[in-house]
Amino acid sequence: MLAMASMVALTACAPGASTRPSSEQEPPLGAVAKIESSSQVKRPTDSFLPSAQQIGILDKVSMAAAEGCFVKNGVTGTAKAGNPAEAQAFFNGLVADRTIRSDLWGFFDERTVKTYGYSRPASVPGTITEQLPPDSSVDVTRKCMDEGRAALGGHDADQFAEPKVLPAGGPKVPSQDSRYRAVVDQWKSCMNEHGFTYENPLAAMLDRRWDGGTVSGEQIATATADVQCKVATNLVGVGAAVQSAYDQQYIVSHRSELDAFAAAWDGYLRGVR
Amino acid sequence: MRKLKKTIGVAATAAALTLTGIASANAINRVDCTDNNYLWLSSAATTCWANAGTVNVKLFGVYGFSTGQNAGTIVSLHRRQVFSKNGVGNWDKNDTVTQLTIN
Repeated sequence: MLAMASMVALTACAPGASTRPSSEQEPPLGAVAKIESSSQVKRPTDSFLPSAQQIGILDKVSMAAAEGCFVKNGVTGTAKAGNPAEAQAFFNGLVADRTIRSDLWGFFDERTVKTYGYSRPASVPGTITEQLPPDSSVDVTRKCMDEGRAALGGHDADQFAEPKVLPAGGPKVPSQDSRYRAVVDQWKSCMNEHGFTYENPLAAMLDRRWDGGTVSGEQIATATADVQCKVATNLVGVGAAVQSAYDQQYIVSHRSELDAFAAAWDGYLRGVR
Repeated sequence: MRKLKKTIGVAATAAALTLTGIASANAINRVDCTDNNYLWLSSAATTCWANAGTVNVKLFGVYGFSTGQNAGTIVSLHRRQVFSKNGVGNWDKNDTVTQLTIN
């Protein structure tokens, strides 16, 4: 009896036992589509977020407010925005990253992987730079950046690219969902068969060996196997179905806040605070 | 950038970087540089940051960044840099970093 009690206690304390949700807590899945291309992925929450083009406009609204603040505070130098086409390409990339660099399934871009591995093509900048007035002070710069955010309800424009900006932090990222974990196990086996060992897809994308400036053959081989294994196991299809189930649950429980959020950013586009 | 991250070995003792005045009560916080998911700001005393929010900082001698699984903004006296996930970049080490945002 004592031995049995010890076994129960050990089971209860096993790693992951307290974090893995029971299937009763998990929302039911809809249809699981076979996903072979990043362009197939759509999320229910997408309709509450601005498009990449609208995010570009929001950025201009925000920076205009910041620049007005610099002037009000006696800063005579001017801010210089970067190349507008480059900025728009950056915002396009940010929105695409919902699928291509997902918080759930990591990297998934079958179009670029064989050339760029996990890295971005030159046509998709990973950063944009705006030069700030050179004669500003630390305090004024901070104040004016805050002023720029105030024009967007306290957000930077780029934050509108991700569901995390939605009320209450957006839908849960269901990386512990049992259905998703099962397909991750299949993906791990597939990666092992290709000679790669990673605990999960994010770990493969964020491997420190990819930090160098050049894309190595090893990175391309790993990323290619990663994407192939995601297609073979339909990891993104399952992941998208699981995420959609959580998204729907979230939308039902936050509907009025979501509508107000979407109306708010629509107002920011027109300069309404 | 791989070399940038290796500087963490001297981070605890380096004096070239000072962190002051965390003004915002947000969830963003400085963390040990133990995870590639974090935002890394490389300097003689590399710092790493995690969780969403905005924080006022004074970081001297930053010469590069690695964004991990984060998008956000780095503001200095002379520059506002918006970054996406899984990216790396250089920084002018004479330009003091004054504000960080992780989305």
